[in-house]
Amino acid sequence: MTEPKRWIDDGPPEAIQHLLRAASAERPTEQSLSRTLTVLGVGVGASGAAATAGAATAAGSATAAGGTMTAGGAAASGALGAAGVKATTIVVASGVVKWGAVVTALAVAAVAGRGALKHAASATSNQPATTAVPPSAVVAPRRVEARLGIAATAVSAGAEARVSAAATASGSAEGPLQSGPKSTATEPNVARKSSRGVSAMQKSPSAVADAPAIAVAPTVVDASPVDTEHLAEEVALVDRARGALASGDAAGALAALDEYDAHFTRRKFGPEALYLRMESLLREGRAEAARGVARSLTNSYPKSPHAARARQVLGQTIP
Amino acid sequence: MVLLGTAMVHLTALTAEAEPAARNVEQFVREHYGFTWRVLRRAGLSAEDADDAAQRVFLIATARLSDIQRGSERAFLFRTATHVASKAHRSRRRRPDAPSSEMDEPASELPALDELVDQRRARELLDRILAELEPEVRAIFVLFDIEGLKKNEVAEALGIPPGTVASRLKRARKEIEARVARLRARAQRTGGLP
Repeated sequence: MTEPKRWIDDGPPEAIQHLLRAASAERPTEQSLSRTLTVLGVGVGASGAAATAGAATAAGSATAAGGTMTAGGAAASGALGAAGVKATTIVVASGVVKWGAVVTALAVAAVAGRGALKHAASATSNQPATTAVPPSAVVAPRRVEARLGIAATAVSAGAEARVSAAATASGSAEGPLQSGPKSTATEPNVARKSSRGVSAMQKSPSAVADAPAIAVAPTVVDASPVDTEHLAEEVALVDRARGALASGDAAGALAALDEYDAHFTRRKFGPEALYLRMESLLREGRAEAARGVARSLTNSYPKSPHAARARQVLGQTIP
Repeated sequence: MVLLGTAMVHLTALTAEAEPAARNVEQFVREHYGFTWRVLRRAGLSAEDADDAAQRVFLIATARLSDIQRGSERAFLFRTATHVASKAHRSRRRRPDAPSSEMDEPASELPALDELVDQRRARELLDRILAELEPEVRAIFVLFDIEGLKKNEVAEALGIPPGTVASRLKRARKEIEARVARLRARAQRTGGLP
């Protein structure tokens, strides 16, 4: 049986051609793709920029970091299957969970930042320029319908509105362009999760009970208003450490983490930094030092996904 | 110490195995993201909702990547996207045939303003027409005429014989053309056209 001809190649009416071309030409934003890659734990190089951009503008991103505690597992499970890693042992599986959680830290920051990006008057990213459409544009829709031979008013302004085919109420063509940015109804979900994450972390003891075998600066999770510039730097450093470890450069990871500890006393990514340090030390064969960091991790963040891995390192049973 | 040694071995193995696989995942996502996102859009989701839904689709798809046969990726993604879009509609208590506002049109690769607005309106009109079609007819049109899938791919995505694709496609085109003609006639009656 032969392949049917595409409609566009078969000389449809001009209006149909226009509809087909418009639909085929539609593309998601790069940011949309980056966010998905970040959530999946891949393409960190590209998505790191998105996460940083999000973090730098996210007024509420103090909660974003906390969100990793709850979101890490889900993302990690995706990463586990995605990577095709055979989880034949708990050790391997938990390792993946940690990667997922770390990467998700960046992802949540980026997602949380999206709302701010969309609505901030000073948005500097390549977010949709919804509000940038000049008022003069409101006359343009008429040209479309002229080309298609369809009244402009046949299309409703509101997402929920239903306009019958016969509707020709005047002025509705201006609706979409004059209305403000769409309400981000889905964003609070992320924010709510994040708030819970922060609460849990705030309840955790911040003091390190057992002295680690190596010097680890006190881990303080900051729930104060975000210094967006610092948050972006934090994301970059943690990302650098993670990337170094992933490429086998444990020393590079430790250097990035040392820099992180030196520069930030109120950290948004405390658990992730400890986890990366622990794994880096293990990679270097510094088992005792790694155990010290593991103790810090379990004491400071007993409920974090990273703590489960730390307990394994300590030889403890996972509760 | 034994456990530590084991952990180190596993960590090394994990890093060695996961890195190439992760790159494949990235390639898979990059290759099919636009397709999946547009399918979600033509299913009536706003650009913003399509962003979120696409994430869900790829979380599901990448978790099952080893189960997806080569050449069947888009069929799998289409089915998953249809399911996710349906859930998104339900969760928002929207009617599945609700075309969404395109106010959050992507800003990347923006054409000239006139052309952008032009395309937005055209897509709104198309989505409105598609929403009036039966789902299986709409799906064939979207997959074949908009996304350019081959007939066999469409058949696989929809779980129908390849021979049925052509007949339903013909029906879809006929219905779309009729609706466009109807809108045109109505517009002319009401003086909406020059």
